Amino acid sequence: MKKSVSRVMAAVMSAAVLAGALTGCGSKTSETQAAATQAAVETQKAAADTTTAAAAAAPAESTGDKTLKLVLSTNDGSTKDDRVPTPWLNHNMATNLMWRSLLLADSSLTKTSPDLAESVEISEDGLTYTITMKDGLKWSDGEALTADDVLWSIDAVMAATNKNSIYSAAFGKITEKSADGNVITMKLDSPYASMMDILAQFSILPKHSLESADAATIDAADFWKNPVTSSYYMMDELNVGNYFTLKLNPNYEGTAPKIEKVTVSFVTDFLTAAQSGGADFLYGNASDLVEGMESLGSYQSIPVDVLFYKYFLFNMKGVDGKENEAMQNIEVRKALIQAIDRATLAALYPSAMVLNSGVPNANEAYNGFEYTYDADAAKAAIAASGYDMTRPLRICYYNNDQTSIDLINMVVYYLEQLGLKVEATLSNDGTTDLFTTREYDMGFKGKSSFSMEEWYSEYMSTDALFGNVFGGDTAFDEAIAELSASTTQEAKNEALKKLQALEQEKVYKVPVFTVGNYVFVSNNVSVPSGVEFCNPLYTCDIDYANWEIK
Amino acid sequence: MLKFILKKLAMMIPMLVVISLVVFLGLRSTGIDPLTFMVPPEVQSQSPEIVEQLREDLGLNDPLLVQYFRWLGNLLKGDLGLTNKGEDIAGIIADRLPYTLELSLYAMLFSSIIGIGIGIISAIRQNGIVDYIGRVLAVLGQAVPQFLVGILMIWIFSIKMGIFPAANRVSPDATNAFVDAFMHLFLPVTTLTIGMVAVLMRYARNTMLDVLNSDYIKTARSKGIPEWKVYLKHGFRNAMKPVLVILMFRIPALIGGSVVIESVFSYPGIGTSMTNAITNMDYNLVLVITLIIAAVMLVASFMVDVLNALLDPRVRLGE
Amino acid sequence: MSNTNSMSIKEQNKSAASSLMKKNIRKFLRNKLAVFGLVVIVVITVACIVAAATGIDYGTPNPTIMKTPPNGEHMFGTDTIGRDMLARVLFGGCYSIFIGVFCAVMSSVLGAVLGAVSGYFGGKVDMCIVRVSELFQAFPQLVLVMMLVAILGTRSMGNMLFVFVITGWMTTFRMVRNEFMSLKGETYVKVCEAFGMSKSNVMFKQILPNVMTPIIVSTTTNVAYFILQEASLSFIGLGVADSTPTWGNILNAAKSIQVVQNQWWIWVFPGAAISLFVLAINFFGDGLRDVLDAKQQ
Repeated sequence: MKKSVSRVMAAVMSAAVLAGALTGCGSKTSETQAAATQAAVETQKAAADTTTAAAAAAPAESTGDKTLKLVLSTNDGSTKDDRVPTPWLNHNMATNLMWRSLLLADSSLTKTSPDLAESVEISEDGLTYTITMKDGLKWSDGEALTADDVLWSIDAVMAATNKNSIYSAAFGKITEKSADGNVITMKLDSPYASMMDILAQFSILPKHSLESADAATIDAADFWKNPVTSSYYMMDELNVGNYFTLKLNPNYEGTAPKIEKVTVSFVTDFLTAAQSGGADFLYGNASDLVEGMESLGSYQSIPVDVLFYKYFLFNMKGVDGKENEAMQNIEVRKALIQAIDRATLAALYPSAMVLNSGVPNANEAYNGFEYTYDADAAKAAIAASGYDMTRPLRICYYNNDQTSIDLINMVVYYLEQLGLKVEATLSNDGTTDLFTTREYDMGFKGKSSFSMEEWYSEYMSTDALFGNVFGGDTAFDEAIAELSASTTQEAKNEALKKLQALEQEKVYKVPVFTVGNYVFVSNNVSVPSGVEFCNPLYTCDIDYANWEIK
Repeated sequence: MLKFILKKLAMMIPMLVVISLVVFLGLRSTGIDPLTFMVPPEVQSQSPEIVEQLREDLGLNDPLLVQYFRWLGNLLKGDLGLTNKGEDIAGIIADRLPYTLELSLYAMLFSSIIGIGIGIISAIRQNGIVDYIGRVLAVLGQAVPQFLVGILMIWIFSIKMGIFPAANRVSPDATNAFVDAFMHLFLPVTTLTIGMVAVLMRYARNTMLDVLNSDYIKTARSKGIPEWKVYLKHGFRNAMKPVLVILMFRIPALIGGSVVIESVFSYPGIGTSMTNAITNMDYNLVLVITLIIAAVMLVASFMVDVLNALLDPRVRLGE
Repeated sequence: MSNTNSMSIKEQNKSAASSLMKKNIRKFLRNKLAVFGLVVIVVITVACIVAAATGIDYGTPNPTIMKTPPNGEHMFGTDTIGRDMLARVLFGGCYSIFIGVFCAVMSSVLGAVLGAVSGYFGGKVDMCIVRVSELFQAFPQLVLVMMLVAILGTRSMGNMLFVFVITGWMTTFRMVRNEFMSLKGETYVKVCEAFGMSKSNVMFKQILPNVMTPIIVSTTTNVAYFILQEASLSFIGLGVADSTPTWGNILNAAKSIQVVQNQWWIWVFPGAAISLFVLAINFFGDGLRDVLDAKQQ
């Protein structure tokens, strides 16, 4: 009731302001006009009073009482504005402050320290993991956080559709797991060198509140509207379409952070949010954002070392065996890539590096192969391939920032130079369109990768998403297993070379370049010295407890 | 008159049924299989029997008409169904519809007052200052694409001047719900109003001019009726008819406008939900939202008929 | 609205058509805004057609010169991937103007014919057409566009035109129908009928001219409306495919607040082209109305 009254009042006020503004230009030409002006003047006074009141309230709102303001973009193809996003697909600052993993990574994401786990021991053959949980851990709702939650989380992430492929790659190795009180034992069928790093990225979720949800679509469960958390903060309020707020979690056993409140707004554009003063922390790689943020001056811009791939993938074949006939001919795929000048495309990003496989050109494991740009050769090749030139080539992409749209426009141009008809579609649910409905030939994707292994793990025949566009091709499985089992640098390089040769032979995914990523922290926030930021789509130790609002 | 209204009202129900049927069949004929969105791809390929079972359970194998009446039956029971992702549609509507109603009703209210007001004044004082200013304003407001106006508003008022928020409907740290509502609504409502005012102003002016130039006004004047009475009683009354028709027919444009404006201002209304539902092929949601909008428009059309009948007895006699 | 008046104009038309024509042209030329509108329309249209006919290069991206401000070589500057803005705005004009004019004219013709039939015949015919119009009216344009995109699978120009015409006729229809319903009882119509004039003659030659003024006004506004509608649809990603440089698609660059703030030429020129053209159309329409409005003569 109160709400509706205030809405009506807001209506009257804005009417007054508008009427005032518009009748202001009129003259006293008629009685009605004069009366309207009179009324407008009177209400305008009232409006002016409230406007000043609002203006006075605004600074108080913006400084708040020690509130950290975060933003979540609803444009990433998976985040919805009516719930907290699952940390099993991508991490973000907000979810990193809500859920913990067994281990905590440093900014390189490869060194770990205990978090929920007290210790993790690995047997000499690398096949048995013994994880001891800390005592007395609790969820934000007071329930005990136990080894049972960990085992359930591992099973649940395997069953989920929307998840990061690093989990299925690592946990797919687990043949048996059991819990005895605080101690979890996991047995692997083959060694997995980065298991510890993956465990540090794997948020444990509460079994007791998620058990009844549908396993495959767990990210759509009602849980995410009022989730139970394990880290510094717990849910305070979710306002659908607008924001959610976090308050301190009384059941968190460590030192409470100095910042007592966090607000997380759902926005469509980071830059606008930052410019209108609504964000203390954000990240990105598009040149628009980076340039815009750097010109603001009120943010610290921190480059982060991230393997962020931009790449094409070809829609080959579903696991159901449904082939995309037009793309089956490898000569067609090669010709399409040959027609695209990737070095020129790289000019669109602030610091893009062209690469030819999952391995950056500067890496010692790089095998030297290069996708060259040659429009004439590409034209000849596509003609020779027998591709039906009247058939429109369909491109699907989901990043809707201007830089991505520009990039696709250029790709369309290059392909049209081949004499092809090209249709580019901007999807607003990238995961569904790329991997489920699959109405496209060439997809354009970004991947903020954890490691080169993650790039290659997408080729696994069992990958929940990519298996469905590469037809569950098992050609890569063996080499991927070799890579994940390799413990020495030589063995790793060996495996990487093998994988590069394979991917260049298959041409399922073609990297365009890696792009430089930046984290932006508002000058309102003081971050303890020595904190290094990691890939913003993962989680690491940023000494958050000592962050302060100035 | 009452009979006329009742008759029109009674017509609305079959109309809604027909509309829902057409939308239902239209969306189904797109050949989109909702199961694609419900079942993960590997399940679809590895265990088609599960998919088939689910299809059977959901009744997707029944004839379309059977499915339609089942859906209609559920709707009448108050069950709006689920989206492809399994969310409760009623919840989505309850969350977002009020925001959109708020936005469009304010825009409608202000644009009618301002548009009709200025339109009539410029007709009475043809070629006067108000007329010229009004016409230029009207045409400018109508000429610049609404989304561009919105973007420029954000640029000027949110970014440069920092007065109004650039997005959303509610701030997380609002101290006063009423001030917060005003701050968030001001820019989108103003943007929508600017677009709406233009059309109404034009029509109000044009029809008022038509009326003022008509014989019966001249007759009224010649009878020595005071000028203001001529305008109000004869001019305004007769000019209102076409203006009201246009006003009602602006409702779809208003809804369309709010879809675009919601996207510009990241406003969490039903327009955004619909755009998303359409691109995600979530036809259960599209169906419900379409039906809501159809109902709104039917009510508007009903009001046009009634107003027409009230203002022009010839229409009623013609029925 | 009285019959004697309209009849006398009819006669006047027949006897002194040429002098009336001259009078109308003079009257039109006196309206400065309308003349301005006409000039702008002609200039923009001719420029666009000439540009398209000479085959200027609107499509070659060149990132080395991206976001160049206007200069001697690129009078409107270049866009975010280094394409010449002038060429794009001119080429885009061809598409946008075509969309606007085609859809406005076709939807008015459709609306007027259906409105005339419906209003004149009344009864079952009227009821059917009104129901159909209400059915169409009840669908937001957006849903129809999307349903068609979903059914046809492409965001092509043809679909767009079709959807605009099919969703745009109802306003004219209502207007014409209401007017016909009011007028068909008038004595002069009865007289015409009594003289044995054919129904189509009565409808289109006797009654329809009385509603030509609002039809012309609504057609002009509709040209503007469709151009703007195309831009809006492009903005929410449902318009003609991105690679077709309509004004709306070009203006989409203004989605990026960074472009709005720092590269004014990327959005000001297409924005100005749309606004100026729409403005000109509206001025022209107003002028035309003043000339054609029989009641003011």
